[in-house]
Amino acid sequence: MKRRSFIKHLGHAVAVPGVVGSFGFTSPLSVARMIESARETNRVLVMIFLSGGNDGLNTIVPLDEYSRYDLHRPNVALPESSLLNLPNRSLAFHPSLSFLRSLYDEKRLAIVQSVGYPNQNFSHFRSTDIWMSASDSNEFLTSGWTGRLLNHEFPDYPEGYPNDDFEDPLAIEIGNGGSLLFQGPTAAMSMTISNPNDFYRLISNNTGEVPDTLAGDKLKHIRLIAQQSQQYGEVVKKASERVGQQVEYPQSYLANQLKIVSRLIAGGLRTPVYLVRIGGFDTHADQVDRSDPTRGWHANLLNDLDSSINAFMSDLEYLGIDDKVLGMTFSEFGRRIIANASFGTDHGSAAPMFVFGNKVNGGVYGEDPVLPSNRSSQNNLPAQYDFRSVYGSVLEQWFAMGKSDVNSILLGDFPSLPIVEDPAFIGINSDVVEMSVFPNPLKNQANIVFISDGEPVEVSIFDRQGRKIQQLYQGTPVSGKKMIEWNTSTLPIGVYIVLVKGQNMTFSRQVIKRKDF
Amino acid sequence: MVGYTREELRQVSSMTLATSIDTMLTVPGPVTPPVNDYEAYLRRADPGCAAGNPWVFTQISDGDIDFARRLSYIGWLYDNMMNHELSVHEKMVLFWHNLLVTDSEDLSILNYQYMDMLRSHALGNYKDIIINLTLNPRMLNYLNGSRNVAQQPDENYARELQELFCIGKWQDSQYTENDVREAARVLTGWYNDFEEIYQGNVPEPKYWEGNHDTGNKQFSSFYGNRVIQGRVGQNGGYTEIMELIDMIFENPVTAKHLCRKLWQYFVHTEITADVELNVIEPLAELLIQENFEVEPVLRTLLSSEAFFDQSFRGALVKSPAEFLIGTWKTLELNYDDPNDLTQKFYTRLTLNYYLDRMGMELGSPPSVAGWAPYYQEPLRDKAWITTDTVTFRAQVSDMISSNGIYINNNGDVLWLITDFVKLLESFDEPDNIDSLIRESTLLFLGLELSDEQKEDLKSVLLSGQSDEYYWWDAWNSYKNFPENEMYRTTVENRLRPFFRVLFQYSEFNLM
Repeated sequence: MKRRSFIKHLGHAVAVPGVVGSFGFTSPLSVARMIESARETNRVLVMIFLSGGNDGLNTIVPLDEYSRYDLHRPNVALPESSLLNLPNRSLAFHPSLSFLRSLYDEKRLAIVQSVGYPNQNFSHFRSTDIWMSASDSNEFLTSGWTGRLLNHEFPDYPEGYPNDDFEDPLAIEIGNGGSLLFQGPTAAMSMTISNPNDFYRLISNNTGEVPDTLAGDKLKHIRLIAQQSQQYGEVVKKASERVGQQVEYPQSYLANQLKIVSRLIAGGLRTPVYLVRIGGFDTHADQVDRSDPTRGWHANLLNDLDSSINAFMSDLEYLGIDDKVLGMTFSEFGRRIIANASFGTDHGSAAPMFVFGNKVNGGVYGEDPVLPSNRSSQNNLPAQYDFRSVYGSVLEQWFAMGKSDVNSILLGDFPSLPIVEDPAFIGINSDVVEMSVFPNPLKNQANIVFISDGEPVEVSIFDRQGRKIQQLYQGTPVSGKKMIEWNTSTLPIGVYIVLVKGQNMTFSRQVIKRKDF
Repeated sequence: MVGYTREELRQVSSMTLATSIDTMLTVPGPVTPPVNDYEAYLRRADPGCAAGNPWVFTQISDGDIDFARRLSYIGWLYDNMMNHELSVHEKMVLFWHNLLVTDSEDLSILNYQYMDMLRSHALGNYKDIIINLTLNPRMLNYLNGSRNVAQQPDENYARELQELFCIGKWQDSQYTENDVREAARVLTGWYNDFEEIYQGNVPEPKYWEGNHDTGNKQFSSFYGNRVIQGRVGQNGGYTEIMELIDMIFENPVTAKHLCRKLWQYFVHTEITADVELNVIEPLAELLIQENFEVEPVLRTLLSSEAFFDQSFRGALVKSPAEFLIGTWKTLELNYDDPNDLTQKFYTRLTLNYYLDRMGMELGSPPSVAGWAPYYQEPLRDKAWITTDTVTFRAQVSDMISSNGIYINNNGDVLWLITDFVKLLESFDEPDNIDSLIRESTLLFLGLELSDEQKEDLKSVLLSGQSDEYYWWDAWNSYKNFPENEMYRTTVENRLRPFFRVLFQYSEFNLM
């Protein structure tokens, strides 16, 4: 989106004291203490939405297909000599993506080739909705997949939140728009901020009865948001204030958003999901400079992406939280194989996705795209991977969810890819009969049953943040069925993971303790 | 109406329903085009246009000058919204701008010409607007029509013409991907001549036959399997476009699309089966019968039982424009010195900043679909309110009720002071607290307050006292001795916190 430019130009002209607010760079907390608090934080997923439809073929160029690539898009093709080759692969990065190439070399970047979905829809809005809601092409959902994820973990939200067990926002998006991504089945699950220090004390709004009318419904909504902005505002502000120095970021809308995200994670927020955006990928015209295809609009966008991720990764490392964060880029679609006459490309279908972070199982997933031999045939790349396979892999391997839970969030069964190098709990599979926990949701007492292979085994309880809170058993049971009792009467309300770890096996189960029990 | 004064409300209340609807459907006279108010910002003269003169259709000397003119154009949008007369016209301009989107990221004159077109047709003919829009030079740039050539068609405008502007994305919008491709072929051959525009000529679309696809265009069964005959010659492209628009308007979904959008904009975001059957369908029939004139449809909608249904009262969240500009209008704020062009320029620039922080930069919807709260299910207008914007709204309303509006006037601080005493002078019974609350509710809130809230407000106005006589006395003392500084200050010091609390009630965000 180009829309930010006006405000950027105006920034200095209209900066308003007391209303604009600013980052407080002065808080003197030591890096060591900061790191300490960061260690307590959850694993975090940061999603970067490339809005407008990113041109995958000019992001990662298939070198085996170079002559066809050049044939189909003579006016936007990048010269072979300008490309950044991947070692031992016939693939190359756009010349603007030098940092991503180095991440790839360090095995900290996964490239998932040709991600899309069946029956591609070419409308920005519809396809964005499909990606955000994780729906089929012909299925119309009004909730987002992350919204459903959070609703699964925090089923009562927003009633009773924030509370002592979870005082942090469930999800944060930077900017001022509520995205479909975080829309749960009944409530929006995210908090929107543009500046973590820019919170404002509202006069406490009357939260009494509202009339049972349409207006009453809107009134209730405004009051609840106002109330939450107060409570979450404090928490976010505090987290932000805990962080002193950060590395230098480039001046861009995306970089500023990532800078805030890094700051909040380091400040100790346990918020598991963040969404940031970079717009302008709808490159129908002037995608490349007419005199030099390595420059132009798309090159600038990729350069912004590359340098912002570069600063973000360095900052995470500097703040000691680099192992906690997984990043993922996505866009509503790729672009056509054949370029148009405007030195641009029209709405297309499948495109590569990037997943990055220290814990990523780096490399290229999938076959390189194959281009048609002549210009009259197919103009869209077929999808190799359904985008929900990537989401599912992240849920399973990063957030340690069982397959059946993943399926209920993604509304279907999608094969996963081994994207995370060090999954939260290896071999997790809540459907296996080798292990069970009942009752679930928990009451005052639970039973953990597993099949022992006669080797030493440990049974431990973890909270949602992956902290071990209790070791229930350590020993070498005889082969066969083993049952362990677990007193859960004093356990606080929340979601827990029960882990059974042996020499040759690891099983885990996610359980929940709710208010009503 | 984007905000109204007490006097306007009184006028309308004294009219019969028929008269008030006539009034609301008045087409105001043309507004003056934007003038060179940017010299202080630019720090030099504009060789194409002297200070104070209209800059439209004058020579554009360089990019910085054009950028300054764009800011001047945005300010012009604010002026039009703040100065509108008692008519629904201005609200319809915003409706069309949000439905038929372009943004302000282009040459100032193109932005102006596009908006001027919407203004002059705001209560006019839907089909005429679409015809004008299709060949509007700003739109030719915005959705790449000017790059759409036979050899390599660009589908951008062809898609949105159907998906957003005419047919929509409803259950009954069954056009196909191929219809998009075929429409793109019809639309080939048009471009802008920038050299002429830079020189100050009136921008008009150019046509080059060589770029037009002269083959036949075959549409789907949704359009009755229509074939638009490929045409050659200098008028070939234009003739085909007229046939394309005829075809789209002959499809009954187009009329329904507009009526559904009007319902959602004026009444309520949800379209129930009952509304579809009893409101949308008859309105769509009327629109077709009236040859796509919008005024009769608005007249019917605004006088319908459904429109006055009490259950829709206060059921829409104010957009940022309605929140800020509406309040500005009701409080009759004005430029400190209306003849000081520089001050006007910076005031409007600051307002634009405030509106952007609330999620609505006037003149620049974030995408071709418009502002998300007008279309994104399931939150819709609720989405104007986020944890970020709800606090910013409160900051702005606090600012208005304490000091007034802060303006960064070319580096100098300027406060546009809110005069609540003047506001109360326009009330029926300013010395009666119940009446004061009732009249304030009518002007600012979408819903009645609860008894508890009213008690809170009374207590604020009475500085914690309970005897209402104190207010009666304070106001009448001031009225009897308006020059007495103590009496005036006493009244002001009661009114500021009163309105601060009133504006922080969630009801202030509803309309």
